[in-house]
Amino acid sequence: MPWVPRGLRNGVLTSRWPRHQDDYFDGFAAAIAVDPTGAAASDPRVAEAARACPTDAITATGDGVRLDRGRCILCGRCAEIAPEVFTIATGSAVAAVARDGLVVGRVAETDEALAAVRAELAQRVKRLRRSVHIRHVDAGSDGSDEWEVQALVNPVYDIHRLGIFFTASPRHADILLVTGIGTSGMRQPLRRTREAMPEPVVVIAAGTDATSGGLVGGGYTAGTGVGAVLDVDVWVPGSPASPFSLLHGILLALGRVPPPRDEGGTK
Amino acid sequence: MPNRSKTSFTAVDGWRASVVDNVSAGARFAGLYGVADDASCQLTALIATDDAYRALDVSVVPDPNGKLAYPSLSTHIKPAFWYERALHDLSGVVPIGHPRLDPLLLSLEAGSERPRPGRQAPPSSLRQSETAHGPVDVTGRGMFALSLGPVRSGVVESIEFLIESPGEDIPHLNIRPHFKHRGVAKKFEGKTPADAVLVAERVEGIASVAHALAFSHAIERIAGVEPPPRARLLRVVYAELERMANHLDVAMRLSDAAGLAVATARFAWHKETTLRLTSRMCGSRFGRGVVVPGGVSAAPQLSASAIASEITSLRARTRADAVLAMRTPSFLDRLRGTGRLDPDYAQLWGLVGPLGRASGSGDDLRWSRPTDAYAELRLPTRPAGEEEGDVLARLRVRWSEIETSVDLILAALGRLEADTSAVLAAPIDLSGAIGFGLGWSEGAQGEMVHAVALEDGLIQRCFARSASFHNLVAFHDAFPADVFTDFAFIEASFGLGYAGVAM
Amino acid sequence: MMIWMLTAGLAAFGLALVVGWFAVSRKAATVDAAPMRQGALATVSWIASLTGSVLLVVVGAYALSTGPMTIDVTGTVGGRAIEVDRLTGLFLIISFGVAVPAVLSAMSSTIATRGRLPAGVAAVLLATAIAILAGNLFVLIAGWEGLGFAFYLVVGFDRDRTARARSSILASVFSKASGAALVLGALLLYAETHSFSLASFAHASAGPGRDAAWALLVLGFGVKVGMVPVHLWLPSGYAAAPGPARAILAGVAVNVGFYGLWRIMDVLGAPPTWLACVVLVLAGVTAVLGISHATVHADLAYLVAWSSVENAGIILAGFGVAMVGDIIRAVPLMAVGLLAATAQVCAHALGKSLLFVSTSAIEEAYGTTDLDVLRGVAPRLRFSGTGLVVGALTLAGVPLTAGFASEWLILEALMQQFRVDNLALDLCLAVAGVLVALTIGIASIAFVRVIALTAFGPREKLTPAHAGETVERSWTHRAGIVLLVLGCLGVAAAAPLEVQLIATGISPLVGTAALSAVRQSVILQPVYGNFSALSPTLLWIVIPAYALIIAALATLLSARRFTRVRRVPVWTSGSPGVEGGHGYTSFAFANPIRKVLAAVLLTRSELRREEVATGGQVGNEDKGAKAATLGYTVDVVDIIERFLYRPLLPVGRAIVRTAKRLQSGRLDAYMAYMLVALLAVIAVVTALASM
Repeated sequence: MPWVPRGLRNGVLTSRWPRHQDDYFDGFAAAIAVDPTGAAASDPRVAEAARACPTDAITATGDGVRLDRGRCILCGRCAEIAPEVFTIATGSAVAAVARDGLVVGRVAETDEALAAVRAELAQRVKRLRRSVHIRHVDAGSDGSDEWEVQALVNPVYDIHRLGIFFTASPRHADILLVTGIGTSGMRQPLRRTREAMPEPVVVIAAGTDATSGGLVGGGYTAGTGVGAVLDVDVWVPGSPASPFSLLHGILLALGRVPPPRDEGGTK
Repeated sequence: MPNRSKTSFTAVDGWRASVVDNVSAGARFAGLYGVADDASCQLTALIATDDAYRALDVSVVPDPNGKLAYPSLSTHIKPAFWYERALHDLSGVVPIGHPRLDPLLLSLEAGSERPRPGRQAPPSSLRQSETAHGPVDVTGRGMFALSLGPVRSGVVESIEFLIESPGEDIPHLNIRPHFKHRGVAKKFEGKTPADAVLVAERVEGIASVAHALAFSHAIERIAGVEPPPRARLLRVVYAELERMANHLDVAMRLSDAAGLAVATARFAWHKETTLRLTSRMCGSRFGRGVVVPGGVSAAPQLSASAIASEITSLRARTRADAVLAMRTPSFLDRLRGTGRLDPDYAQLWGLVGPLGRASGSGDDLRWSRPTDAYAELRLPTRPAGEEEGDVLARLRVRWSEIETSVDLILAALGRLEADTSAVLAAPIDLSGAIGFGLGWSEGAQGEMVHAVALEDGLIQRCFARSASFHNLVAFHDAFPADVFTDFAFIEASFGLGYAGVAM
Repeated sequence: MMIWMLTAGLAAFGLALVVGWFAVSRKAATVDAAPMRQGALATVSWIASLTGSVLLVVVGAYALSTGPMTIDVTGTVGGRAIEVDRLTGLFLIISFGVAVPAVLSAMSSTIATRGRLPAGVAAVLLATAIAILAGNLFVLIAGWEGLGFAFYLVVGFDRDRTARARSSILASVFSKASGAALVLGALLLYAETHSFSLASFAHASAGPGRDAAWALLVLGFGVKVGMVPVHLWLPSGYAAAPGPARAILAGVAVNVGFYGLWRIMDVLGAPPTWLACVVLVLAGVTAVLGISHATVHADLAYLVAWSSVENAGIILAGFGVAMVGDIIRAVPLMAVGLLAATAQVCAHALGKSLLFVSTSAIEEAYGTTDLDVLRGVAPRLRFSGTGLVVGALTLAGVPLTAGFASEWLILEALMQQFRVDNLALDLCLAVAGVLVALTIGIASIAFVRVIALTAFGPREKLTPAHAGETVERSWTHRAGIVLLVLGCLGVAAAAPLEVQLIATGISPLVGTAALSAVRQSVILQPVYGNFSALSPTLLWIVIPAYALIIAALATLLSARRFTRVRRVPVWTSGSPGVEGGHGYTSFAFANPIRKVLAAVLLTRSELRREEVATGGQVGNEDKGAKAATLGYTVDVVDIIERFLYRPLLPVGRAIVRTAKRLQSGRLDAYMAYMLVALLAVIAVVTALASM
């Protein structure tokens, strides 16, 4: 009983994103940005940055510099070595509906293919409307990803306000949120869980580990991301992906991300 | 002073006798691992004596059949039970006479190659068994097997608890962490210390700082350098913030299990506040990339006074909620007497961290083997400790540790304000170096130990032992008088990360 | 006419008894001709029993509609031998109404191996009929002792099987004790009235003698129905009886006990206040103890048998309300108590017979009644499975079954406590009410277990080999099941009719008071108006209608997607294929109740290290995760047996040892004993007569 007034003591803590801006959402360093014009691909510092990248996320070939956010673990070394090209970008809106969408820098335009993917996804999630249930599966994470996913239900993010809930049974789930590198041991449980979900299903790979295996994937336990086991619809980079990045990814899957605002919009 | 702590034996029997003697003389068994060579395998046992660690090693050579085997330690040393199973899984060394040599970390098909960490080349034909299911041990009327996991209910890490029950009681359970075995040991190999510390952070993500510290200490020991004072203080700040977040997570999960919605939300908020504070200091919510061998990578992006004021108000809120929780009868009723591990048991199994300390044993490395700035900062006279060994005692230990953490952070911040030096890391040049070093730190889960062997300046083998691996084995015996509905409480009270178990 | 039918019915049972007895007489003589002959004789015996039961139902119906009739056989000694009034008629209908399907099902049992079982069943039926029809003490005692002997025979039918001989001896010991209590009670009344006619006992004047008689008679009849603490024989007795006979014992013969209680209330008038208190409290305890054991028992036959104890408690609670009504001279209260109790007698007779009839076929098909082995019975045995489900629902008191209205009436009767102005009675009514309500709650768990796991549970890999499905396939068994299912459901649909029938039957006790339990022809109320109301009949319309409407809406609103289903394997969080990983066993499902009711059941659990695994250290008992063969056991005990009878056992043995000395084997000694006994009887009777 004494908990009731205690719950009221600190007022509303909940973020108002996506309706309104959120400082933490905008200020969080969730990705590395690449400025292809900053230096030539042949610049020795770019090459050094590519070499220093512990997950080989940077490619510097003749036609330009590219960074795969799906491999990046945000160690920030490239930004130290070649700050003209690589900068730590703030803002949590980093999820993409295609694996290629995570590659930044000089990339081939794939608008048409991307539009097709988006349209297909939009068609699929149309029936989910405004009550969505998520089943989370850990496919070999380091444990931090679960904290970030779990944080979504805390009063600060409170995804229940958006009609999104976590459920224990895949029978009730619409979204399969997978963290971890996709170890051999988790392949079967993961497949069984996906199989047990009623269509339509959206699969989200949460975090760099789930996207590409990150730093620890790719060893003898396979684990080069969950894309090797399931058809993934939305990719959320981050090591681990922060709660806001995850929330952005989930809303992206549901087609509920608000259009980007003008810079310097109202606070 | 690199190799002072290491003793090499030539004969397996002598090695075994020495390990057993050490443990029976009161030393704590802290780990066992293998470093594979072409055909043989070097075994290293870690022993924690009163104020130091000793590594005892011996080389096991193939017998005439080409098999690597040695007489098991588990028959005399309880806590070797899981280490020997892990050793068998990873290095293929058979402890003869082991009570139960089932797969623990890696379930392989018959005849498959083993990863054999230490040997540089990756295994070429490793075949994991995807279908092997758990063992059933108990017979009796109405017994059935209930497998909790690997896909657990709720957002938690994958692990399988195979419960055998006649309904309600939990007379026996098997723990099967292998589903999320990532092969981290092999990921250290061939990396420079600067790269490998990033792997260390991912051994157990919720103890990133603790693992990075343990690893860095090992490297610093090999290199013989001491981090600069400013780095030592900053390391304490990050390590204690991580501890607070972990303890608040346990409080949140206990409240959730008890159905106290407001308490759950409050503790979740406090935890989020802690993680946000960390992220505003260094960019990562888990303090990743901060600790590097030799020091820290960067100064915090917040001023010491800003951190201090945040942490002070966080302490006030946390303390008030903790007091209220400890006055909520419906909460305490579920914790009192639940999941009891008595002191004799904790002693026998050498339990570490809050789990051990709640059962009257288990030291706190910040007191017994202080690293970084812990020796300089004023600690309470004794680490937090309880005797009851139940879930409530563990929570009490955690409350008290949160208080200590805040005190330590504030003290460290005070010194940081006074310290004007700009040096954040001592230079370490280990190119071409060969060496062995032990590093440790006290994480929220307990003692983290990294045993690092360098070759040509690159990691040859890193045995990254998390407290979670060491402690989780006690979960088998935490249900003497408890029933299904106590499971969530006992699991939460252990406060372990399963990534660090499965490795 | 009716008298001839009655006589014919009794004669049919006699015929069944004789023919059944000879059904195996030639077994050894001619091997090849024997089975045929046995089959034919046994069938004749069963048909005779069936005919007798039908005739007695007709007699009962006639008696209920027209009123008293008598047959005076003995004339001089003890008054009229057979007396049939409306109460007799009611109990004839209930008892032999369920005897018809029970005998039908029993007919189908594997004839060749069941030897003299038809004779045993006929003996039970004959004794039941005699005891119910008895007009004087001699006939009653004859019927009662006959019943006791028949129980001994039937319970011990399979005496070569484990522990069954012990059960039959236990049953006969308690029968003897009950007979002794009845004789003693009746003699006390005789001393008052100088007549052996039951009806004349009404003239016994109130006083300690009549009170003691009341108590002794309640005790005597209480043994048969399984009242605590004299229930000890009942669970093992029922369970030990051969499958086809259990329904006859538990569904048919048990009603004699209830009839006896009703009859003493009829003739003796108001009981002493303390006796009403004792009965109420014992009723509550009986109900709770019975359901506690039923809920946790690992064997289907025992589960159903323990539920008889539970029902005895519930029925006795209703009877206790009637006793209270009698004491405070509130005829409506008496009426509601008796009405509720009789309705529960009906529901119990139907449900219990159905369960035991089904159990008989299930036991044959699975070769066991172990609940951990019995899984998925309903899909395999459609008729018996349905019987199991409907019987369980009836005894759990679920709407749309006979048990719902009767349990509602019992609770309503207990709630009339506020009309009583006596503190002791008030308290006892409250205690009984609480315990009965608790019982009804636990009962739902007990029968959920039966329905969810036994009837519909997933089948284990190792379904036992087919022991045979002769019973399940035979049409007589199916007919029996169908009749009983229709009874269980139909009584609910036609609840007002049932209530009117009962009200007529108990009119010798309460006149027409009970008829006001039916209002506006479909609504039931606890006799007193404006208290509460229920219409099981309307529920039969409303509930199915709701189900239909929801199904229709779901189908319509889902745009036919409701019917299109993608089937995937059942999802489990764990890795499939673990031994024993098919979810709860029946035993395990009951384990929470073992924990919750540990105070009643004295639950004990123990994990033993049965054998240290290879490589482990022998004799090292430290806790640890190392493997070994582990054994786990959970036990419960009957506290009455443990704390009442077991301490008395040495005392009893000592008395027997002493008594043995009297049996010297010398004829003159025995003559002397008889002389002493005769003198003592004369002295007592003379003394009492002169009082």
